[in-house]
Amino acid sequence: MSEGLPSSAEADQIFRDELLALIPSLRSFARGLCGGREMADDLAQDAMMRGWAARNSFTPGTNFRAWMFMILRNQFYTTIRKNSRMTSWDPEVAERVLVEAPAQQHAIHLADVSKALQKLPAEQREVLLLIGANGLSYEEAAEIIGCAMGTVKSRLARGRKALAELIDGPADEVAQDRISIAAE
Amino acid sequence: MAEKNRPKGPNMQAAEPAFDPVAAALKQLHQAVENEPLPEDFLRILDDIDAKIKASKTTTNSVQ
Repeated sequence: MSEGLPSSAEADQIFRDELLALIPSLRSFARGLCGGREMADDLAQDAMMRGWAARNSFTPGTNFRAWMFMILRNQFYTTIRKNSRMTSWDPEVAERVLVEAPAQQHAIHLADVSKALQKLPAEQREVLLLIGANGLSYEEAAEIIGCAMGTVKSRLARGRKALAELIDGPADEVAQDRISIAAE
Repeated sequence: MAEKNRPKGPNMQAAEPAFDPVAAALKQLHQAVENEPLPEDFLRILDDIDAKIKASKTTTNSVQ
């Protein structure tokens, strides 16, 4: 009899459990969008509370992750618009990454990738995070962003290229076969 | 992570499943955050939610 009831305790419990399971992904997506840990966790918590408040508009059985990511993403852009100091553009950091990269002897350092990611336009960064980091499909990313799949694909391609250039310098001669991932 | 080689070739970008160091780095960054222990603030939000669910259960039960 509780089936279909918008806000039964059972449905709430399921929602709560799914939310709990998703927190690590929400934190990671937020971290990728914001850069800083504190700001990212604020964003993830805000998204959790908004998601909970809006739980009756979620259709059980549909893609919960995409639904929550959409809330988090919308909140991210709303906050950025309200608060221009949150934009992460810092030319000095970009310069430093570019200057330092050749000295890394073809090793990619995660810290550099993280920094470089923050240099990208948010529309490219979010696609890299959704698909490259979270492993979402093009369809899911398109749904979350609210754009066509072709747009997702082209942003992903541009984002990857830009990220690789930020890390390795603008060279079409990136020695991909010699790049190793440095875990620390 | 161990160094992996990928063949160089004109189709490198078109044929996607080949090892991509940037994609691998993104995944590692993602996993590093995912593996962090949950901060207290998040657990507090869940506690609030639990309290609300409990309250609504009580209400539901008394109505029935």
